[in-house]
Amino acid sequence: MKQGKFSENFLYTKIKQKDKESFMKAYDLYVDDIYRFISFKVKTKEEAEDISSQVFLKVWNHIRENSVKEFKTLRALLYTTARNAVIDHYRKDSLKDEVSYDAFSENFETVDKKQDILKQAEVSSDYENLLKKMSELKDEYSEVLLLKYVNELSIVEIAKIMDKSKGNIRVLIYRAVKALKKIA
Amino acid sequence: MKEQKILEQLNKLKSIKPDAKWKNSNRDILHSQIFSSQVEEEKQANIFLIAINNIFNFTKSISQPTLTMAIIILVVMGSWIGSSFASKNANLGDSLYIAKIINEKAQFAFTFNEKKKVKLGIEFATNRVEEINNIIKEKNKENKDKDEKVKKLVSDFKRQINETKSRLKKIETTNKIVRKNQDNKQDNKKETEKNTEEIADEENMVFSANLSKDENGIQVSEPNSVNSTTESTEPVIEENLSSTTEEVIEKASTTESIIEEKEEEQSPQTILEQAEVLLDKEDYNATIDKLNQADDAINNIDSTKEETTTTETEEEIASTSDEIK
Repeated sequence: MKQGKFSENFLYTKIKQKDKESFMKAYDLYVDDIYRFISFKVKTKEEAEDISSQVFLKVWNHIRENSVKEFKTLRALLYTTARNAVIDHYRKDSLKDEVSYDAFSENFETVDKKQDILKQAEVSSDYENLLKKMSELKDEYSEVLLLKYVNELSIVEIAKIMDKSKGNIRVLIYRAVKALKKIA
Repeated sequence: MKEQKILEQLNKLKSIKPDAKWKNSNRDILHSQIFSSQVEEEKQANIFLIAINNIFNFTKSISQPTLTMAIIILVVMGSWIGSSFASKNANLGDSLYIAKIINEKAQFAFTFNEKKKVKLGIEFATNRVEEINNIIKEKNKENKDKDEKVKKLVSDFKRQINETKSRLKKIETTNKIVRKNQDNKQDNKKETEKNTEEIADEENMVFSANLSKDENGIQVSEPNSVNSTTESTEPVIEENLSSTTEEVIEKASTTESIIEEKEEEQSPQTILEQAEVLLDKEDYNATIDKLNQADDAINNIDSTKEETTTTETEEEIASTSDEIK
């Protein structure tokens, strides 16, 4: 669901006031995006679901502790928490911080189940192709492409999430697209 | 693969969404976790305050540099205007007196017209006299202190008056040069008019051509009837012309005398000198009146000059229209 900048700011201000109902609204708005972001970074659907639910609880705890002042937008807060949660997950399991899309591609579901079967098949074949290509890219490249073109975050937000400067992010996006073009 | 196609395919990844069942069940769990958690009672912020905060953040993100510049300009201008108002009635020895002097100097620096500078000089001189008046009226202070302050203010006043006088001289010299140039232009115009008349007369002269024999010479001339009529009208025109020119000369002499009288009466330099004399006599109210008179005199000079320039332009327009005819 697309949210206007003004209404997002309004919602975030209310959440910072520890308004529980507003936080549940934020969950409804951003759960899909956060799940999608995490799902690209973990192996299985279950892992993605677990981490996603953890993310929202962690964010609520941050709000309770008044430790969200450094985040200017709600999306930056959510994605940064999600990114850190994925890193923690790999640390715990002592697995390589490597993204594998193979396991996930077996479990993925397209949402609109009423979709035409032929169309769905077309989407899935494209999807598998793209996932393979994305897996060949650097982690940084695939992450920045995901944040920019799939989750539609602004350069400022991506810079905050990835802890880089705006200029760095612009260069990174350019290089990621170029690398993907080379593979394709 | 083309970049656009890649971006389209990336866009298709938006279709990845979590399982609806998981989404709902997780929502319920989160809801119970959040609502069971104890939260410090936060003051419910006013909805208007939140809206204002959001608007401020929004404008800040869009135009942060322009906003900061505007705020800086507003603060500087506001402080300047505020200090100038506050220091308006400050006297020598007050903390705001320096602000008053700085304000005056700034006003001087930002006016580029010489006449306006003269006016400002007179205004600041009157300020000095008013300050002297105020210091004399003060009862609490010692006489020595008062005398020192008055001396300083008198020296400031004289300096101001001398500056304005020199400025007035400059203005007068420039005006004289301009007048001379205008006179020269008028003389040139008259000469050219004369020349054109002479050429016209030459054209009307009788042309003769000698064709081998004196008897057969052809003479081309204006018809005699015309000459006779002009001869008959000439004395009448001459009479009228002489009478009208006499009248014009008389009028011109009277206006010149009026202007001279005015200049003698209201020349601002003489008024300023009178003001200086009055200050030396310690008649401060009279000096203020004289300074006001000087200010009026400068205004009058402006108005008379404007009138003369307008009449000159009218004459020019009339002459050009005649030429066209």
